[in-house]
Amino acid sequence: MPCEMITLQLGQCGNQIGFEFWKRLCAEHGINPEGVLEDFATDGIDRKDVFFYQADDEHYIPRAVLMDLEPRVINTIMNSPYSKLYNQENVFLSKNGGGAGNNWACGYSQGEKLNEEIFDIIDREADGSDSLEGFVLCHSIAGGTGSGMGSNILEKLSDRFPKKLVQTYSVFPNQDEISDVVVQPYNSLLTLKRLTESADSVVVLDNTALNRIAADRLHIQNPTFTQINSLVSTIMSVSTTTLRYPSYMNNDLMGLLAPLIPTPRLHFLMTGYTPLSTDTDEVSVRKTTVLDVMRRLLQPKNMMVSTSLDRNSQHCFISILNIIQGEVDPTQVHKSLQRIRERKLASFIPWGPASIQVALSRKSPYIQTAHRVSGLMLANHTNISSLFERALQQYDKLRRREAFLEQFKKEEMFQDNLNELDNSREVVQDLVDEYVAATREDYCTWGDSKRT
Amino acid sequence: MHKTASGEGSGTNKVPVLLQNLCNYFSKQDQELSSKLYKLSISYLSTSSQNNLNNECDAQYVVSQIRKQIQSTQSSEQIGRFDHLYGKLQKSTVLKHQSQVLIFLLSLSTGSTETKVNQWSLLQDIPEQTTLSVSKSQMSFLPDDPKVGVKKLYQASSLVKNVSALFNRTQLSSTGWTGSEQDLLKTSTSSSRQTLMTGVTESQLIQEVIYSFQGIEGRVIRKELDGLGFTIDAKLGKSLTPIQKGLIERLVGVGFLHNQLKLHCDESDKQIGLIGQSLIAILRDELTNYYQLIASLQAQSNKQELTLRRMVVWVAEPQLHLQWLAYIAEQCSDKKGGALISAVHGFLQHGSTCVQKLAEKVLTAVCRPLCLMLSKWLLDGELNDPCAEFFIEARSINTDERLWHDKYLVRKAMIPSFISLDQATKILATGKSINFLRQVCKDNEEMPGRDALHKLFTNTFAKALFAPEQSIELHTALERVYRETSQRVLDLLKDNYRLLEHLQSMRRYLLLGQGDFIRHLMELLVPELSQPAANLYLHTLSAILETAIRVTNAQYEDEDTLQRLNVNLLSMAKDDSGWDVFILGYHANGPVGTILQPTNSIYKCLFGGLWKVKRMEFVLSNMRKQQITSNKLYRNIKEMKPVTHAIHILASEMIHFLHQTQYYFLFEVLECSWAEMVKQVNQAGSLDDVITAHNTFLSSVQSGVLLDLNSANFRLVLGLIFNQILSLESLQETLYMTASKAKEQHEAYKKICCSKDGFGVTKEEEQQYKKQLLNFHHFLSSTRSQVIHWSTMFRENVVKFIKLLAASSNMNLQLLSTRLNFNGYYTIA
Repeated sequence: MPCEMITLQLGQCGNQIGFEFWKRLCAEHGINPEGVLEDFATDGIDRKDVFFYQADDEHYIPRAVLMDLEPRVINTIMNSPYSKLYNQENVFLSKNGGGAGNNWACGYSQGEKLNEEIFDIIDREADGSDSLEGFVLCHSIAGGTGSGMGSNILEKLSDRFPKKLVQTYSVFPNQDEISDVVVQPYNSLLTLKRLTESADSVVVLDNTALNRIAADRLHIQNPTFTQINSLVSTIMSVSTTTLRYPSYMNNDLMGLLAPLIPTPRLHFLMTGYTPLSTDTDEVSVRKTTVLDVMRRLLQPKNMMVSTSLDRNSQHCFISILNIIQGEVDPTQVHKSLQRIRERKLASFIPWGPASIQVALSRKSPYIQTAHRVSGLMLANHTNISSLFERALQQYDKLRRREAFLEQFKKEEMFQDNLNELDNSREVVQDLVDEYVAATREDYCTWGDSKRT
Repeated sequence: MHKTASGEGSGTNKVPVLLQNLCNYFSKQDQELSSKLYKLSISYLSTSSQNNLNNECDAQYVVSQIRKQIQSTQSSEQIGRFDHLYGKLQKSTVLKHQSQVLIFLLSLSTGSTETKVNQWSLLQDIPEQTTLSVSKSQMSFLPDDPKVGVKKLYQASSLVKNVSALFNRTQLSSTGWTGSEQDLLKTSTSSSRQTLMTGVTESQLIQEVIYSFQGIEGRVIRKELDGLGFTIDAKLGKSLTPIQKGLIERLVGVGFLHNQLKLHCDESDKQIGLIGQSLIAILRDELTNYYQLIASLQAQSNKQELTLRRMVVWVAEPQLHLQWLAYIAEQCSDKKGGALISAVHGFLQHGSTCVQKLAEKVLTAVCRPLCLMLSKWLLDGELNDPCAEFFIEARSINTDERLWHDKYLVRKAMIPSFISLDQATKILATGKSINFLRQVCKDNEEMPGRDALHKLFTNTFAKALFAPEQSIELHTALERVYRETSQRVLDLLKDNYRLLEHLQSMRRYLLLGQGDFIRHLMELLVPELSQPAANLYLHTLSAILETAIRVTNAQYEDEDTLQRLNVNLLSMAKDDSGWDVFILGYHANGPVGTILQPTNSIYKCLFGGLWKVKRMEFVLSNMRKQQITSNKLYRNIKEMKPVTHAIHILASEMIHFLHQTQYYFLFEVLECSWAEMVKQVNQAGSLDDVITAHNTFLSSVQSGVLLDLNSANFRLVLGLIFNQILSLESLQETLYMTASKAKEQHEAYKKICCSKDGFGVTKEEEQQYKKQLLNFHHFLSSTRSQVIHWSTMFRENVVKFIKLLAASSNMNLQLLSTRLNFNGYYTIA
């Protein structure tokens, strides 16, 4: 089966959202927790092979590699009903089990050491697919394992598989609560450099926004990880829906990303989803139309990234892809687009043609939803840079005081100097600059003025 | 008998003439037989006249004699019968000398047995001859080859004509034979007031008029020279009074009409076919009725009861009758089949009830063959129409798939005016469906609803076809049979032959609906199709198709569908690459082929167009992938940035253009048209509805994706844009190849630098490296200006395309133009 994707789950957060993701994929494809196809799902028109492969006994096995430096989350997964779903050989737990101590440098160096073992697994998995399209990496950028070891794996992946795509679902830390991880700004910055340079597409999952959405939109005052992660898994599953339910267009990841990412570095994507509901929430069922969905997707409050979409600022959409699911009359799509254009509900870049791409996709027939139409927006917006700017500010604050650097200096990378930090800051600043430049008309000649 | 009796009443002088006439009539043209008969009857008459002198008034005596006679030879029942007949005779006012008649009859029966034998043997000769001529004409009604049959029939009818002509002639000559013309004249001179000065008596005139009624000219009434009508002889006419002249002129009109009708009946070659024949038959019937009238006129004239004035009254109605018949015949003279029926049907609307009735009679007659053909067609789907009279015709076809489309057609000229074109088409469809089921679907099951129709056809006369009050039942039956038969065809196609699944498959594979399969197939085909078209081998391509099917979701497709899927190559021109000629085909045969095969060429065209756009999407997607991955690789070569950035931006623009167009083509055109078609197909009541829905779908897709005839200018600009995409692809390829070489050189130089360990590089090496670097930079800047130039050109083309779209009369295309320029990036003057 062509265009397979291998999922790499890293660290506490990565494994948690990965777990939710697989749970959801299983439900959508009618695969039970043991990997057996349900009787009602035998004549599906879906492509299970993108994310699963079939074992000799016809069981469906996720193309997933689970990695962590401490056993807690993975053990939970292995004690869940889904324990038999995964290929046990693809579960990697560091033998010392001590974790990375929320330290990027620690995670990175451990990743470096475990490199061989990890890539044995990844290589095997890659060899097992006909024509691998790329990797999906699930992790958080703030902790130790997901950020540090994740960074290491990202670098190695682009060395080892230079022609494969690497997409990440990266969870950004919640800004609204004071984190117990004091070195979080360092971790974030160092990871952001790798996400900029080694990843091909980053879907930003901002915990700040996710928590706000849970509180404001779903009325959950203290959302649990599971509740937040089910939001995340929704986004992950919907954004892969065109790969799993083939239709005329967007049947491979590249086809999906090509119109979204105009230049290779501007690959950080925001998401939005509507209508939002959780398992317990059955009240807010409204009439949903395509226009309704598309309009709401453009509202900042539905975005999973906590950027203040200031209408007065220069920031604008570089590209938008709306994946619309449900009973959609294709003729409605155009009317909705027309309306959005007339009302100027979205502002776009001035240096090239841009519009709202629409992908109409099937919905899994096995999951009943209360809504007729639902939509996911994948957007490339220049305002994502505000997230990076915030990361830079926090880093600068910490760095100015030279705070908490001892932990880092213990590791080889930072023993002699802190060049890596400075370098990372430069890369991230560059990225911010490029995003800002992309709001201006002269972005076409941006490279020239900067480097000559 | 009648003639003899009245002849006696009018005077003995006339008897021989009439007797001769009678004998001639019975013996037909045989003079010998006629004279024998004549002698025999004379002898009878002379013996009986002796008796009648004695017993003239004693009828009772004669009756008792007869009773005795019957009693001695026959049963008592016969006596009863005689009494009954005698009662009738007494009531009759026609016979004046009843007792004499009885005496004559008695003498006939009591005559010697020898003479009886003789006389019967003589008489037996007569019917033999008449039966001969009858059987001849009957024989000709049973044709092996219909055309020959028709000819025979007319030969037979001309025989009849000859017979009647001869009969007329003998009648004339017999008039002369008696030589009693002068006596006749004398008697009439003395008895009538209308004596003529020049010797043409009124009765003579009446006789001539009666002749003229049969188309025979006389002394006074002459035939028109080159016409069918009659005129009064100029010389003899002088002696006639103006009133007589006027009367005669009015009367001879009837003769003209008779002649015209006769001519029409005799001009057999003009009327081919069964319907024409039935017209002639009914005309003949009418003529026969008319001859009966003449006979009664003749009888009246013989009784001297007729005057010209009376005749005018007598013939007034028949004349009208003949007039309309002749008119109808004239209207039909150059027509046949359905057209003839239409012509007759036109008279049905006439205001006069007399004409209406007449037309109805004729129409009923001519509709009978039509009715027969119709029932054959509707019940069994059979066409038996050698003379091309029916309004449905069959043509020869090459393949079964064409049966539905080409074999049966409505012959518009032959549709009777009481059947609308819509009904005709439905009748066509009904019979065609039967043939389709039988021949193409090999379905030999009983057709639904045939019993009712069959009953209707056997019970209802042809009249039901056109009479509005009776036709309702027939037409509802027709409608029902049409609907049921059509439904049966549809059900069979949908259920047994999986019509909808086939359409679905064609959409999936020929119209690229199965995206994952198409994408993978394209990926596998790239190395093959990049070659010149002449280097392609079908078997290689087929093998690739197999592979693509095996690894994508197409593998779950129905086995039958997959087997129908095949690879084709279009006829190739000299410089064609594989991309230009590759076509995916879907082999549809059998019943569904009826719908799908005729559209093959459209599907080819659509696949070709969509495949081309898909390839562009694929090319751009791969370019983007290369850009993303190479960007990591050459991150450190800062000099490349301006070039790659320019390429990225141009590629983005291209991707935007292509994705919007693709989305429009695939979702707004294909999906919307498909949804519409599915709706139509589900509502369809007949195969034709499905065919129409399918064709509408295809043509709406064709115009929507700019592949129709009117979109040549769009295709031109699109072609330019596609070429630019391909050019950029190869430029990017060159760029990255050169970059990789430069990188190698750089790394090699670095290696030398390091390995010399402090001693540095030689001057030559340094110079060489610098030169290489300079070349590389030179290449980069030239590439960059190339890309920027292309960007302008590309923008120009896009603007041109958007302008064309905006100017299009097709609303949807205008919408695409706003799509392509959603953020107003392109300035459209």
